[in-house]
Amino acid sequence: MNSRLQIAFVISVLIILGLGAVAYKNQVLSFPLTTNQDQEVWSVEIKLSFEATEESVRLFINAADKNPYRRTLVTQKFGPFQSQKNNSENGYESVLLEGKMNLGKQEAAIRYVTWFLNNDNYTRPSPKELSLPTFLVSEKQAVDAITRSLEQYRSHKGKALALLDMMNTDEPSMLVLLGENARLSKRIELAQKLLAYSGVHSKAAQGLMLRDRKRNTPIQQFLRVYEQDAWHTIDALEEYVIQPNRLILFQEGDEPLIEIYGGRNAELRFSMLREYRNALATSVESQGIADSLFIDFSIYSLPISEQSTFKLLLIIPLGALVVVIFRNLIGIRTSGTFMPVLIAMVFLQTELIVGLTLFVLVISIGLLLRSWLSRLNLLLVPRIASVLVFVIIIFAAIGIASHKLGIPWGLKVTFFPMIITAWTVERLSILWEEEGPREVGIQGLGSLLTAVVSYILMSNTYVADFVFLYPESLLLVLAAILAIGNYNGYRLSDLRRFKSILEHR
Amino acid sequence: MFGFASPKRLKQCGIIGMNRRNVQLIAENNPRQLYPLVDNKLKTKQLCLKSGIATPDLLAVFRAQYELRSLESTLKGLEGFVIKPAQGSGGKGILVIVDRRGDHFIRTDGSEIDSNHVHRHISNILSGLYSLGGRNDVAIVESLVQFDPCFEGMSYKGVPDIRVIVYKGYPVMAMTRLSTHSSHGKANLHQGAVGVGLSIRNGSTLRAVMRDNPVTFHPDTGKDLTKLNIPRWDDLLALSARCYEITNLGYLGVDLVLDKDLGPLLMELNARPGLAIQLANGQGLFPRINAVNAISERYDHSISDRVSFSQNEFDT
Repeated sequence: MNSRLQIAFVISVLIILGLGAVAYKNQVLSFPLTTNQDQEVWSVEIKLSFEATEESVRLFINAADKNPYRRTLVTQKFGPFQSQKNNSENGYESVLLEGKMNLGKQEAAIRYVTWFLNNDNYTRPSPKELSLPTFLVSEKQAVDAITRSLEQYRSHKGKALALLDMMNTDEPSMLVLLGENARLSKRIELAQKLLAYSGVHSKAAQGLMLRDRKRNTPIQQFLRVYEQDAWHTIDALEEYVIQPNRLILFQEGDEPLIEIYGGRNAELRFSMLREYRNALATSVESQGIADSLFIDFSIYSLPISEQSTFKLLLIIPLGALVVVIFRNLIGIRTSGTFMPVLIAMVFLQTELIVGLTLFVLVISIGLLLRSWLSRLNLLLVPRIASVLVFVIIIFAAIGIASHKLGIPWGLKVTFFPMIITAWTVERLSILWEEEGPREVGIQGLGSLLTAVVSYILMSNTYVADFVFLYPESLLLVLAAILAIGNYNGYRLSDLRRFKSILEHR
Repeated sequence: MFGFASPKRLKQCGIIGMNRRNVQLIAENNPRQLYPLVDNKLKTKQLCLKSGIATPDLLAVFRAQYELRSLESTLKGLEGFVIKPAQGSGGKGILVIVDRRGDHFIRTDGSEIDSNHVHRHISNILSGLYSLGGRNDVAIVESLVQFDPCFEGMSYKGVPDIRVIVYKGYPVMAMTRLSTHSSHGKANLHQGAVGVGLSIRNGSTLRAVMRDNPVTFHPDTGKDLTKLNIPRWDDLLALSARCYEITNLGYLGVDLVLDKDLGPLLMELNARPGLAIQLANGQGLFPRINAVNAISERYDHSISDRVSFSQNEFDT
């Protein structure tokens, strides 16, 4: 009884703490409760690394464009530089950094929050007169062929996209002009020339396309096309027009972004994270309650690349809660306690149907191969090691076969954790031998059902964002888990199992 | 409704569910450090030997592969014997030899095997093929039990055994498990064996179930299960109750067999006995657990006191 009292006490404390913290953040710090009406806010982190070869280093960096519809709030910066001068030119900002520092590897970083007021394409100075590009005589035929095929597209964007598509699919006339495996910058350069030949204004640009949870990416290269008094930006590799509210440009042309004196190997890396926090942005940063311990010791004080890791970590307890409910309240048998949560996390990356298909495929082939192993009477560790090798071979086979068959999602098989998959095959196979296929079906389906429900909960953006906004709610999850751990009433499966006792009394 | 019983009525019947079993019966009564005593059949046997509890005779133990060189001489002159892994679970890896013909051994189902087969079987046991988690194991050779004639025709191919749940030293519920064709000679209820609930008072049949449904006749032999009457019931209960003293496990499953000459013999002990016994008896464990809790707090009883308490109290 004593331990039950203790648990009841701990559970109440957790609930009070959790609810209290959520209420305090919601009421006093005016954190939003739901995220749907809120504004999309991007946290961007730029990391600069270089090697100092002299004691004093000077660095020019082209910083973000001056989109009038974009707001930026610098939250943090660090680095070895002592002075900084900003200089504005042609709608772009460039920064001169100077400092004295030790020789060798150096790092600097800046973190800011940025958001777009609307999705308008802001007008830039209209382009100058087009100068007709020149081509070699040997190229003439290919250029004409391409230009003719472009005529069917009315819009400039359509022409540009068609051109990029020809390049990316290695169209023969393009190969003549580009050669094989041409670099992206070369493709963009050629696209510009060909567009100019068809009378379309275009230019190369470098910048960032904002995507949630992107980590440590280099600067991207874009092609910009002028149409209807505005510049449209196209992702040259993936062939689509980027929304203005997903774009931060850093520079036009394809020159390097950084000029460094007194150092070398300068490199920029970008991480970004989408958040929904109009109230957050205003309450945390602009109103200056950042001094509040709650904020200062919260997840938001971490670097952005780590924040996105935590965004994923924070939803795992929800999956664990699902497992606890399924096993101890419903009584569904699963193969391996937390295997379903791991599978659910794989589903987050592969999409549900693809993940399910691949998982069933891998496990079935694995069981088939494993049934041959059991005739060999191997020792435990070599047996599991062989299953592991099987699993990797199956992964490779599925990957290659699907690629050859033109099924792009087959490659996602690599998201499955290999060791866990091998153990699942091993466990199910032993189960098959000892208890028969029926039990394998029960546990296999039980695991998949648990995984799917966990996935549905974990992939729900409302839930994920709420937990990210209020990590304190995990205390409530813990309280629920402890409460179930203390529950000794019937499981749903008990009600079914012992039903016959009531009937035949 | 929808194939589910009402929890209220189950509670009235005193049925214990999985959660309550795991916490209130197992976790509260069985300290983990005592598990190895019952999870290892060799240790259990040695414990029984020390405290004078009857078990099938231990004929030989094979601890390492090289000891198998003496296999021939060990088996010489043995007519029937059983080979089992010390740490096996669910009846895995048990080889029963009932007779021999020349150089060959005859199994329960009548098939013949040679000594190479026996050799390989023991070798597999040693390498952990049948053990939990694949740990290296020890092979035990023990004498074959001559079943009491009361079990004649009651079991298909397998070993009929008697399971007694002993709670804090009091036998609270009992059943016998009879293997069937559909359980492949295994005595596990969820695999399709017949479970027959036995009265704690005198060992008479209460009811029989197979896959949760009541049955009257054995599905393979056609024998009337209600005619089963276990002899030497008091000895059997006393032996079960004594197992509490030697193991100190408060919630204990005692598996016994009945030899026609030697009487009840202890086969194995289980620190996590399941709840299927409630189905075989058609009643719940909870009232009996409560009755024992009430009495055991007041007195410290001897084995015979405990057995007679149970026989008077649990008279259904």
